[in-house]
Amino acid sequence: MAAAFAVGIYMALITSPADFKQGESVRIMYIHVPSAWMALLTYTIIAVASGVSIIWRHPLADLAAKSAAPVGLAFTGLALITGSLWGKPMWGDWWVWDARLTSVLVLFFLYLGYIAIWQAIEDQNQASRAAAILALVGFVNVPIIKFSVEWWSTLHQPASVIRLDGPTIDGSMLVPLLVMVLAFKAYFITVLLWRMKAELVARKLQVLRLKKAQGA
Amino acid sequence: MVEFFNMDGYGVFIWPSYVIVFVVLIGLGIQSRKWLANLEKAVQDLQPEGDAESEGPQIGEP
Repeated sequence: MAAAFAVGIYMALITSPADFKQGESVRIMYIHVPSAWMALLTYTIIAVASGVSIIWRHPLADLAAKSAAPVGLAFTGLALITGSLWGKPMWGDWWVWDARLTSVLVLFFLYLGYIAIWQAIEDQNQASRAAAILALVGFVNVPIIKFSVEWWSTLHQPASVIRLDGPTIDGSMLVPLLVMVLAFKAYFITVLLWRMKAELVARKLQVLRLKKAQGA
Repeated sequence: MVEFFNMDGYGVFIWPSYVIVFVVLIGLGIQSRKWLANLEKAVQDLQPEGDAESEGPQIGEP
């Protein structure tokens, strides 16, 4: 993971060229796009895990969704902040109520709501069910984010990598971008596993405390 | 070097972006590791000696 980040940052800041239209500001793309993609991927994982949790009541699915949420929230926040820092020099404003930006802001609030449910409801089974329902209902926002730049007239540029007719971005920019995406994915998997393990240990701790209280 | 940091005038937008991303990612990573370590220590303190390996995490227990 560290190696992927090191190589990705080196390529993003040093070896990749400036854009002919956006100049050096395009270097923000190498952290903005992976953050945004990971925000969507993480929410999709949460929605799938929530579906599995509701249908098959698999406790590990529940745990995976709960553990992924703070990481997804961080990615979404970073996508919004870096987008704002990129938007100011390109669009002349820190924020515009553009379909893409607004739908990503909605995603940010969905993450906050999902985490708040887990925090607010004491009964973990009830919390799991309520959070899973929110995750599934909120999943409708994911395709809206993806296709917002095609469905509405927006300031945000259209997709240039994931397209049916292939990427329109030059290889000298695509390679560093993909290296950074790989680094972000490795980071996500690492932190997700730590947080899932922590959730498992927390449940074990709860059982041990209960046993101790009953034994005393 | 000044030219590199200036980034054609976009440095004031580029560098804060990178700093914020890495502060948040490293911060979340450290918080997650610390949380896990604290929980593991708490379990170790509660568990009777020699029982540490015998009882794995109980998924789904209330």
